[in-house]
Amino acid sequence: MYRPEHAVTNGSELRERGELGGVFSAKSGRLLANCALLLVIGAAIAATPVLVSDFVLLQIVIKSLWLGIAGSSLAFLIGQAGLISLAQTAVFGTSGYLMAILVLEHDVGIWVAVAAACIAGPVAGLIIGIISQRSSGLYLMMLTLAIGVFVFFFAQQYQPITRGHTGFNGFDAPIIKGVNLQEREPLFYVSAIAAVGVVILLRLVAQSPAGLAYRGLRDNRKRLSALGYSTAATTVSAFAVAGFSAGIGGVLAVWYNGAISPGSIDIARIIELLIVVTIGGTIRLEGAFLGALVVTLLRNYANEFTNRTSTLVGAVFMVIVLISRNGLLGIFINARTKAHKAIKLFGGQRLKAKQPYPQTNP
Amino acid sequence: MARRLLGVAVAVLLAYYAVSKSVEIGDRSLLVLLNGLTAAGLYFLMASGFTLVFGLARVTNLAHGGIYLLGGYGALSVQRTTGNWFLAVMLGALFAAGVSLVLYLLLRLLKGDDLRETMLTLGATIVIADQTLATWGGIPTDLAPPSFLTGSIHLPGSPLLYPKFRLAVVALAVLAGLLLWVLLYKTRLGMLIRAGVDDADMVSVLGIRVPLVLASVFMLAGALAGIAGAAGGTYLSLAQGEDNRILLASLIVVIAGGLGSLRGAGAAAIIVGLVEAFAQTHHPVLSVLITFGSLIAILVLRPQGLIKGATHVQA
Repeated sequence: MYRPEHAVTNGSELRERGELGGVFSAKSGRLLANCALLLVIGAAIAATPVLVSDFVLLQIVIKSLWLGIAGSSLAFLIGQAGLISLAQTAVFGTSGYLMAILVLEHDVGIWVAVAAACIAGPVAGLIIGIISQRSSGLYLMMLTLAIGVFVFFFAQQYQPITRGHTGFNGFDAPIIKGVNLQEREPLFYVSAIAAVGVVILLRLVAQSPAGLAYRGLRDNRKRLSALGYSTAATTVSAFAVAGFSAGIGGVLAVWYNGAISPGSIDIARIIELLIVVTIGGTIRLEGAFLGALVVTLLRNYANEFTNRTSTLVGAVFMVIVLISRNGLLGIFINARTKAHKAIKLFGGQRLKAKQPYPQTNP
Repeated sequence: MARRLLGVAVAVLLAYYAVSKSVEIGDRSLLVLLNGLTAAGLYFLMASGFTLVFGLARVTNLAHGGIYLLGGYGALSVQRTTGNWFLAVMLGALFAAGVSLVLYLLLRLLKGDDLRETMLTLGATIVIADQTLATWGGIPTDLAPPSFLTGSIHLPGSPLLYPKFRLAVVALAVLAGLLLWVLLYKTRLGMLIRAGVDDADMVSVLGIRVPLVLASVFMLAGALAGIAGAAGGTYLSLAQGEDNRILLASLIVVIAGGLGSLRGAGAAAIIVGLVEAFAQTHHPVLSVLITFGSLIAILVLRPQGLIKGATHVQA
């Protein structure tokens, strides 16, 4: 049974740790703080294209954003519901392929295709959830791996629909009032807004009663079903929710690459998505973006001093798995806790976190 | 009950379909059968080690495909210097066992957190694949079979030819299966392994040094994968991506057979090998889809596999 360090099923305890303190929590103080945070993020988004070079914006920032959006679906599944799915690239690919097929084969309007792809994400998630509703832990991992590879082979072998090995090339992103979304800056803004939107939405779900059920699934399936929840239904709905952001990631990836092929969803990509999420840490959804950034940076810049970038990525991944349970975020949070303890030890005043909720235990 | 009846009906229909299709192509279906059995032999070599490691250590060793490749490439290097196939296989297997041992020592650092262990083996897969690419290059290559196994023989009662070496792979798998059976059921180590699969904590309480047993199982699994790599490298080829292909195939076998069950692995290896060979002949475009589809079907119907393996495994 997967029991992360931070595993608790008590809602108030979760709030104290800030796990539930999301964008729209009840307290207005929090709301204000969140609005300020959103403003800061907005300012950062607006400033990024000015601050970084064109190359970095295209190769690092935008790529990390769509990879992070796809990763956040896996981070949600692992971090919230304890479901390790290797089928998220299947969802990602389903949305991407659907959009490409509708536009390039059937001349459907781009926005209709985008809408269809966004709906296809949760639907594909739902189907994967229904197939794997009875599994958990390692079995789930292997079943979803089989599904992920199945979809890859489908894309590669079923040529009448998917054009086989070559996939779809020459996909043009939509143009709004003369602004081509495939160009660097517009694509960046769209991706950034989508990323913020996805995080807010997933956090809203995490704060809802459904989110509590997901954490129940993660922490203790038996107790959850004893409380009258259907673990199967909880699993299926978690997959559907996660499918939403995987689908959006797929849409953006096709806009970014202008193409989709079986290579976008092969086993290397399946593993890469898991690496992204694990390096970042699943303790928070934002970890997926951190992991995506680290992997993209490694892939882009490591080849300046080594030819073996894959070895480096693999080795970094192994080291992080070895030293931290929750990826880089886990290391950061551990360091912060230790710093607090050290300050306390030397008689200093602990930097008290704001506590909007009354302490329940003495 | 209804589910069982449905299952039986589907199985009968599938069997009817398979037989009618086989009759269509006449005695060439003998080749399909043999191809299936050869693949099954390779899969069994891989899956038996994988399932033992899983049953005992609860580690889903996703680096097993990488170890297969290392065993094959190691054997290739030895054969290139000495020209001896048997020496090559032995040293290749030893090399693979050594790598497997190193992996075990790394895994020990995680103290039984099974999901992180799986992730670690995933990282090892990437490192191994990239290192084999760096050392042996990306051009597919293969080992030369020993001289008395080169060429083909006539199949009894038909004019068809079949490569000798492929038949030898089947024999090798049967031999490995027998040796494993002797090891597991007739030796002290085997007794400890079986006891460990059932209840590792209890074995440890009885004063057995479980880490030593685990280390030997990891080495055994590594050696089996290494032998499979050398054999596969002789009759198929050694190439980048082969590690993933063989890993997926043996995952299918292990899951379909029931994780931790050696008998299940044997039965599932034969089923998967035959289904695959059949699908490749009759539905080449959809072959992989058929293999994976049948796995998904098995898992949906029986989440714990054909034969229930390690008792502590939750489905």
